[in-house]
Amino acid sequence: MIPMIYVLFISLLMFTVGLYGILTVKGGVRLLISIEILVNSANLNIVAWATMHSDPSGILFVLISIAIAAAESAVGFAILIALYRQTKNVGLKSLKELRW
Amino acid sequence: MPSEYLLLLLLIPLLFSIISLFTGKYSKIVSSVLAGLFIIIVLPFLPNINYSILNPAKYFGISIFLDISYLSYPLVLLTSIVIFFAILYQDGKIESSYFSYLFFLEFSLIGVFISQNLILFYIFWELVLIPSYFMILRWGGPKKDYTALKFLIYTHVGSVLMLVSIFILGYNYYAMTGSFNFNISTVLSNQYIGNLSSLLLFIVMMGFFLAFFIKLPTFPFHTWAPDVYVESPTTSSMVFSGLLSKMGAFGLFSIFVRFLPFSGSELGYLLLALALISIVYAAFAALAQKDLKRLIAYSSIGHMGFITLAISVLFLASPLGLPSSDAYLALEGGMFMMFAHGLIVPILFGSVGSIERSTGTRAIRDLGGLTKMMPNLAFVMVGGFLASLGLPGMAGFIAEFSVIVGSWNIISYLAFIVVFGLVVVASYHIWALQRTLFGPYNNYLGNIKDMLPREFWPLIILLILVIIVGIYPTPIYSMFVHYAQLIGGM
Amino acid sequence: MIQYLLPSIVLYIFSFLTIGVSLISKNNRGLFATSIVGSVISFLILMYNLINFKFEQYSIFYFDFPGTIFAILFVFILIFVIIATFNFNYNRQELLYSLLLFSTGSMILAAYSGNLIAIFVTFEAASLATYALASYPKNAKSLEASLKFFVIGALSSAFIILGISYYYISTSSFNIGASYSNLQLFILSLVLMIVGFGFKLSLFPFHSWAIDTYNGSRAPISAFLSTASKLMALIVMIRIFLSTNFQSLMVGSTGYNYVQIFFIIISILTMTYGNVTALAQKDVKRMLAYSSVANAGYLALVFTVTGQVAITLALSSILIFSMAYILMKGGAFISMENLESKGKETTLDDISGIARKRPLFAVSFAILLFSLAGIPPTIGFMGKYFLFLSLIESNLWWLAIIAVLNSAISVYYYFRVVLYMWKEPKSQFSTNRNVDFVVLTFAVVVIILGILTPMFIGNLNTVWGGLP
Repeated sequence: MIPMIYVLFISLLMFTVGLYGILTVKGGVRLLISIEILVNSANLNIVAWATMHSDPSGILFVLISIAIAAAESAVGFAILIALYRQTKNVGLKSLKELRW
Repeated sequence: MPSEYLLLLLLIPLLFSIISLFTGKYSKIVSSVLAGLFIIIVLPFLPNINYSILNPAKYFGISIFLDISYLSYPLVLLTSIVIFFAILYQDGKIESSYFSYLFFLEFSLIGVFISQNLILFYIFWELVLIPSYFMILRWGGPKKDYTALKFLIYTHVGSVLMLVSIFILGYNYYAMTGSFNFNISTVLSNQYIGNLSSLLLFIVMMGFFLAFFIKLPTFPFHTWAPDVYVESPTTSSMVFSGLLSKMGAFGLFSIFVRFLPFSGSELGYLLLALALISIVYAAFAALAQKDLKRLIAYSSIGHMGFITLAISVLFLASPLGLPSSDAYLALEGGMFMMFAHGLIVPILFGSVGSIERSTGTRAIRDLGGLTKMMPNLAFVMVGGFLASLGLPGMAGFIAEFSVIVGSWNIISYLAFIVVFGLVVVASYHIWALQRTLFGPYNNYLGNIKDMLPREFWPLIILLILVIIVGIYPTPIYSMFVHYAQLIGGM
Repeated sequence: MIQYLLPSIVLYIFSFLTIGVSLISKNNRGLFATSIVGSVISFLILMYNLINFKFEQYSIFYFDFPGTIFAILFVFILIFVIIATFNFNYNRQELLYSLLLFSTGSMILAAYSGNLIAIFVTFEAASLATYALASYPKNAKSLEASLKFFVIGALSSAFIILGISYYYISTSSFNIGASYSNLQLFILSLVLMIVGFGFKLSLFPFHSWAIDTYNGSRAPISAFLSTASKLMALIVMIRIFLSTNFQSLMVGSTGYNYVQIFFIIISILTMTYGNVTALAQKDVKRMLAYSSVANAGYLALVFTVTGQVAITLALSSILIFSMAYILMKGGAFISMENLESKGKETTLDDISGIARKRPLFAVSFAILLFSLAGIPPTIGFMGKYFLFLSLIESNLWWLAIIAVLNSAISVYYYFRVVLYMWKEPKSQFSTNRNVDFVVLTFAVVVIILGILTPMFIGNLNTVWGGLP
């Protein structure tokens, strides 16, 4: 059995990668992928703990969370497509209407 | 009389404020009748009746606790009188909402004067801002935007600092008893103030100090006052200078004096310095003014300096929190100054308003010899100015005389500064009269008309009131004497 | 149980019904009627629940009194937002109403959730709908606002779910108030959840999306986002952070607990930042966005109190403040619709002189601004008063002073708007009757509630029985 500490470490690594992605990527689609990585890092934690203690509520939570993440990407893509229709571009550099 | 009747003093002006909105072109007649009626309603609420708490302290310290003390009765009366004559003076062609604002102002002012709960007091204190702000903004002069915002920021900062003090007092009471109470007679009693640490006491006193001295206004915080008095139309100036500054004075005499046993003489010297600077500074500033209305605004600040002087004498001459007989005299004079000044200053602003209406200018340089064309104005204005400079036989004299005599033993040679200030005050009053009313007529002004009856009669009645109070001050003065004794026994 | 679920079910049903109606009726009137009917039915059921209130507790739902109050607030703002959107004219407008109803239905469930699974699901369901809502009116500006909102929202939900995962690992349970076995992970989960929910509540370091989103969206949508969506985050946070396990997390022997310390710092920064930056704004809508950041700082004050008595008072005062917030902020944002619907900008110059042309609207808007500035006797003052009182009750008088001074700063920029409204008019104004109606209603309610508050605050004290 893999000790929990390794799982925690891996998930933290995934979270860092996702966070790095969100902060640096220029393309809209990569952004959505980064968000998926972020969410899945937490799912990894929960599913590992749930299987170790054979607790069904954790598994349930992960299933729901995956479904929600899918819905989230759907909304994200919808917004990106609407933006593409307006600006013919999904790059984030074109977003400069709203500045302080 | 059951204490519920005190609510009438609040509800009736509020009702009038709504009624006057819908009176259309008869608004002036209706409002003046209503305001006159209200004076009659106020009269029987004499302060020697024991009013009780209307609504005992529940609801986390907010209780509707009203009381009419020996200090508040003259001020409530003054409020109703000044509002009445201001409405009489006002040109009836103005929108009816103006009268509505005036009645709303009356409502909130009376609320300040009779509420005995700090939160209630704060609510009314803030409510005063709203009608005054809109009156400046809607009917003000060319710089009204700037003035309205300046007025609001100055006074609101003061009142928010007061809210901080109120919260600390509430916290103190809560820490001692485990419940909330904001009644002035409870949280500001010696037992609870004495429990504050010296830092908290300092913060609390500073909060009230700034709120009241900004509103008064005293020297470093006075700059909003000339702007507001000058930019407002005449009627608003009469009401603002006559009544708004009395809020600050009322706060000093009703709340600030309760810190008497806990303050060192340093506070007294600070107040004394502020008072002397106010009196002398206002006198010289008035001397330098080219605008007649601004001159009166500064003279008003100078008069408020006497109230600060009275408070400072009280703080200097009260060893162990017990005022000496000198302090009593100064205190009574200071309180009487509120009443006298409230009656006198509308006459001054009213007469300047008439000059401005008929000649189109307020600049002293452009006026001259108005006696020839405007004899009625000359009569009223001379009367008002003499009352303002403290001629014996007028109300202002009693106030100034009491304050100076009371302070004589305590501040010794510094009293000469006050007397010197009074000489300057007298000189610029006389100078202004001479430049505007007497001397050769300035033909450049053309053929001008005298005061209208609606302007003349209210002011002349006010002048008669000033003289009556000056000759027979006992009914009002005795109330202040009563109140001063109460302060000694607190 | 069913009576408490019914309001959301009704909203969900009508959310799909609006799409169906759009197939039949060609103009927007039918849509409008359907969504209004749905939300009013839901509102009536909620009122019925409030009158016949009975506390019920299930494993994932707490059907308690505060939840009901928050649910009523959500549906209340929903009704008036729908009324204010009546003059919208978009292609496929049924989606707007569908999203509004769906999102509110989820918010009601979120207000009742008492378990992290339920909270996460309902919270996400409501948020997803709001991301799409923010994209109206579908121009470059609002789409950018929507995308920013989406990215930040997704990021915040990632933080929340990571926080939940650590919570689960340290307590082996998703229940609120479960006792923890691993202290470090538990504190980590607290920090992560504060960050995640802090994004939603637009607390200081996580606020920047809020400005753009509220500024970029159409005014009634901004009103919905800045009130309902924020208060949902607030009630969820109250349930999580004021539960016994987080409250027992003391920092050494200082007498402070972790939640308290974090939120003292965050709320001071948020209030000050929001108020100071709002001073510099020339655009009224942007100013309102900054002031809603400042208000989030006041809302976060509820987490700084400790002790049973103080928390009880803080909770009942946060109910009052939430009512105040939803009325004044919602009303103020909806007022902006009067300018936006006529194709105007929302700068101070655009609003200048509106009082001379549209006095009723100007007076009601001014009352809402007074309430925001905390001038008595509006409910804005009462909300702040009781909130600051609860700070005093838990010995945080210095924090109360900072909050009061902050509220003094805010007066300047609120009254500047009033000042501009009473200037000489530069241009012609025409207002929408339905927007005027909404703003007037809000203004009247603000004053009436402000006068009545001291009378029912005592009763509110007893109702927070459902906190785990």
